Amino acid sequence: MNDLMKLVLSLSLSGSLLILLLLLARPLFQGRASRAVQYYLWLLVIARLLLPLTPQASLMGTLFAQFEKNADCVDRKNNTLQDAENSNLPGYGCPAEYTEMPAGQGTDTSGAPDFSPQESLPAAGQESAFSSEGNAGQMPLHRIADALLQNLWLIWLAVALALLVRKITVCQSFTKYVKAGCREVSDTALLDSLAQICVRSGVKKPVELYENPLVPSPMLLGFLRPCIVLPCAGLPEQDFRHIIMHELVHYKRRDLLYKWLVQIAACLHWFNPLIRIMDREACRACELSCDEAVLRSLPEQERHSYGDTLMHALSRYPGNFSPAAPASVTLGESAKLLKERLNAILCFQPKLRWNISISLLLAAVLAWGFTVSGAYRSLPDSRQPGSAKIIESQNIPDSSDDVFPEASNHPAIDQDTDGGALPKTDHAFSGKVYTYTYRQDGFYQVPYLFTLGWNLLDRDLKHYESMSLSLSDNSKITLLLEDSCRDFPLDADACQSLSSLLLKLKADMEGTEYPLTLPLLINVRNTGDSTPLELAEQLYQNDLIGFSAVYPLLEETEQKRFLDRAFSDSAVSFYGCCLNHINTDSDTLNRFAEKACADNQIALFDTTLNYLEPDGSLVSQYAQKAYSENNIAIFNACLNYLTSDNPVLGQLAEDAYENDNAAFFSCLAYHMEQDTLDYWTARAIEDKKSQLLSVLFENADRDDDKN
Amino acid sequence: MPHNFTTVIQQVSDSELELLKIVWANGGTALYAQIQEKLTETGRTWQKNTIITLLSRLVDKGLLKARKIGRRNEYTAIVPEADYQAAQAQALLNKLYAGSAKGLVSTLIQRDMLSAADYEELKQFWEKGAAKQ
Repeated sequence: MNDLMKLVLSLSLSGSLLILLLLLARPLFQGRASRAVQYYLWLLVIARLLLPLTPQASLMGTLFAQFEKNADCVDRKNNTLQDAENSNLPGYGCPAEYTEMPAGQGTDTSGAPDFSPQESLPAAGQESAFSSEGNAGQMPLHRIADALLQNLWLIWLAVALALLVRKITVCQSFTKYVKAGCREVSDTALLDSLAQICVRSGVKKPVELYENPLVPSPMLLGFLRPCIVLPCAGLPEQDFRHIIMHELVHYKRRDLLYKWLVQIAACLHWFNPLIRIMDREACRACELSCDEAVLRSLPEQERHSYGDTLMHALSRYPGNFSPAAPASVTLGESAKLLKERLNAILCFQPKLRWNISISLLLAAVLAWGFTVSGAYRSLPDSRQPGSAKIIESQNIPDSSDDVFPEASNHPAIDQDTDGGALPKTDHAFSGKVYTYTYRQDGFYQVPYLFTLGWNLLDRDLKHYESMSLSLSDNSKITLLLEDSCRDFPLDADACQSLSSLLLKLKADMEGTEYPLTLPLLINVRNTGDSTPLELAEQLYQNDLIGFSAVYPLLEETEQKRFLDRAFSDSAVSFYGCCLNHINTDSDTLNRFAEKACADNQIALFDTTLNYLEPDGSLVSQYAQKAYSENNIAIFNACLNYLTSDNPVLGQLAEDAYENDNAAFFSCLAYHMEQDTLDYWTARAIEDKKSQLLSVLFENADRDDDKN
Repeated sequence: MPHNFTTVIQQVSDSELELLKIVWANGGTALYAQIQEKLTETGRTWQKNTIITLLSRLVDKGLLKARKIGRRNEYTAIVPEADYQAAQAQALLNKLYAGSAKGLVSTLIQRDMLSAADYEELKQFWEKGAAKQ
């Protein structure tokens, strides 16, 4: 459903809640709180209906999040049945989506719990297993329903606009009609009386006075040039005064505007039945509070005669007169309301003390209701200035020279296909966010442990402190400093150490794809007397980059120990780091692979496979084992390391084909060459295996972006 | 530019006419303050808003033009008094005497509405006119 539609619905719902609240509360404060309170509280309801303001967490927010989540589930099910874009299937193709870095898949993550990709894979597998040809018939119906939902907002908007336009035109013609029959009141006595009342009421603008016998009740017209229209100017003096006072109160409080807001809300929420009730109630509150204001300014003995005025003026026209649009605010539009108003006059008392507390209480409750109910808010783009991003995870590269730091201190990382950890950095730059990657690495120059990044962009110069380091080949280099390293320039020894390191790096990187430019000092640590082992212990599970810098200096036994430890702790990144630097034999690797397979630790398994000899035979064994055990995750992981000419793949494909095992077949198809795909496509067409066909077609398209 | 008094001039109420007369008497232009002063001199106790309302009605009817000088309003008569009188006289003639002045004059004479001096003046005017023809 469209975001706009959701917003409107949520506003309508919240507004309805508030309306109900106010309606229920009415008997409570009948006669205790002043009418004006009710009048203003309705304004709050109108605001709730019209303004898309909401706090981060609100009732509507969670309600709609639930709704969206369910919609997502349904969508997923539908998608696997259709031959349209399958948002799930890429899950088969990306074997290494690790739960260490929660990733958002292509589907909407708004409010829904993160579907850990490991969950989604088996789920999708099950669904496709269930799928049958019979469901194909439901698809068009789903599509129609879907299309309708998407375009619901158009219907809503069309009706709302039509209603609004109609109201405006009715209003205009009414005004014209009234103005046409108006005659100026020239009696200066009346004009003077009017002027005096204006002064007393605090109305600055001169108010015109007209007479129009066609008008059923005295009324106030006009926003900018207010005029009062009377059916008959020849009224007893007291009646005249009361009427004028009443109308002027309407003018001062801008009741015309109030009524328009009510009408706009009624137009926008035309589908909501409670809106009619609100309309009626708000108008009631308007009139009653107006009466109250007039009564308050009248001396006590005159109050009863105000009732007489109302009787004289309104009882001539029984029934309702209310123009479809609020062109005017009148003395009264309904004889039914008249009774209530007369009653109110009889019971009128000047404000009691505890009225105020009740009013405040009610206002507070309603305001709380306003905020809590909230509105739908389309989820903000996950990009927010200043915060770290969660990036889509990708395959682990074949050779990971460096390893990826834990996401806690550093911005989330992305991986380069040629290996190496490339942290992305996001900076708030006048509200906009830009991301790019820079390399990061750890270096252990005893006793300093440096974490450096380099090849930052020039525009980041303004975000960091910087210093100029002179290297021993008499060149200078600008070094950016992270906030934590601001005191670095004060430590001469550290500077010395770093400059020699930088010199070496510069020389090493000269002429390569990434020559050394604009380095960033992320962290510097004086490790003092700590031995590498002690350091490794400290850094293990805490600082991957530092660990990777120190690890190569450890004794072999120590390295092995860490390797085992990382494996058993399932610290994939550290495990990978260890594997990178250690010399292991294939037996050990095999052992690890077996164990990872048995424990269903996909991440560890995959990392291990990375380092196995690429003869494929071991890996194919794993693949076959995974196939027979129906472990798609392991299976998928293995496929990445098998070449497409491996005969085992052919066997497995044949088997999957025969058994209509779409899930596994899809994994295999992802790695097939085009001619293999064509072969299978031809067979599938002949054997009329539609689901496998759809899998094949999907993979035919994605050839371009594979690897 | 002489105002064509055959153009329809809207009816003004008595109070509005009073204001118009004040403006005319002041040379065709008057400040609000002056108008108000004159009114109080003649014993009128109209409220400020009343006067403003009446003046704005005259402006709407095209008989006055309003201008702001600093914070004060100045009103200028668009239709000269003579034109206005002529228009009103014509309207009266049309309405009551079928457009002919003779009937009016005879009324004035028969009802003794003309003073002796007025009568003399009228007679001279009449004979001069007849002589021209």
